[in-house]
Amino acid sequence: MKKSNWILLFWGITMPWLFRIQNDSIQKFAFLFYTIILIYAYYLIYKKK
Amino acid sequence: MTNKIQKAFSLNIFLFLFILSSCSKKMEAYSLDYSSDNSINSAENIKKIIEIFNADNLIKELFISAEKTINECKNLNSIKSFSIDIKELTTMKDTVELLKYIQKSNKNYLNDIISIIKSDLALQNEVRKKYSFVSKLTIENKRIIINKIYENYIVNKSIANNDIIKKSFMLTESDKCQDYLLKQNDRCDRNGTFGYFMCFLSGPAAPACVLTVIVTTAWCFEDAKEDYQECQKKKNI
Repeated sequence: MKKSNWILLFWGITMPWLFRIQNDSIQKFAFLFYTIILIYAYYLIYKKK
Repeated sequence: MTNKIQKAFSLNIFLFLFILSSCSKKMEAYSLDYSSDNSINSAENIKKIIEIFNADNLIKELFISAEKTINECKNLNSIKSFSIDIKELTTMKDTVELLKYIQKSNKNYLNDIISIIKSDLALQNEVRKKYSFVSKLTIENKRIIINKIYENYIVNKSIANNDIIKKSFMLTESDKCQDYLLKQNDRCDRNGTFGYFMCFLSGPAAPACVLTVIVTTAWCFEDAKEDYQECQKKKNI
């Protein structure tokens, strides 16, 4: 499996757990971090094209 | 490569809708479960309201006690002088403010209260499935009931029964628990829905993501229920 797919798999499985973070500021930071990961994954997909 | 991605997304949309439809019943069951809990709780609270406020003598005692409570607070100059914790202090302060308001009111309160309670119960049966709406309406109605009491009653006697005041505290605490439960349930609903749509972004991992969202959302509802029960226990202590 390609690197981008692994990243998306990791993102998809771990992302819903972010909703369980009670601290708002930490949650915002985590979502920002996950957005960057997602953008990176799509960058890898479209870069190879 | 683009075709593969498009195919993967098409498949994901199909899987996403399939899982969503098969799991929506499960989520609905959770909502309804809490719906019934809230309805029961609301009904119990309304019973308490009837017990407390429908009995004319009890109402008189409550309002009789108002003046002495207010005077006690005035004598202490500052409400902070009470040797009770902050939570109780806030409730006490609110209650005293409310009782002050009662003093200025008229006496035609009872018919208004009964009609409001009856309409509330009828509404509960009618729109029972929409739990948050019913519960919010109930809380709102409780506020209306309390406001009606303030608006419609005169007090001109001295204090007697502290148990009545304690009962009024219980009602206030119960509202807090219910408000908190509603907030938590709303949060779980919102996060669950948002989570499903976020899963779509995860491409090939969407099915796994949706399953994870189901688990986390169910867990969120369970947590909310536990918090509510703990709140109720604390209230009873």
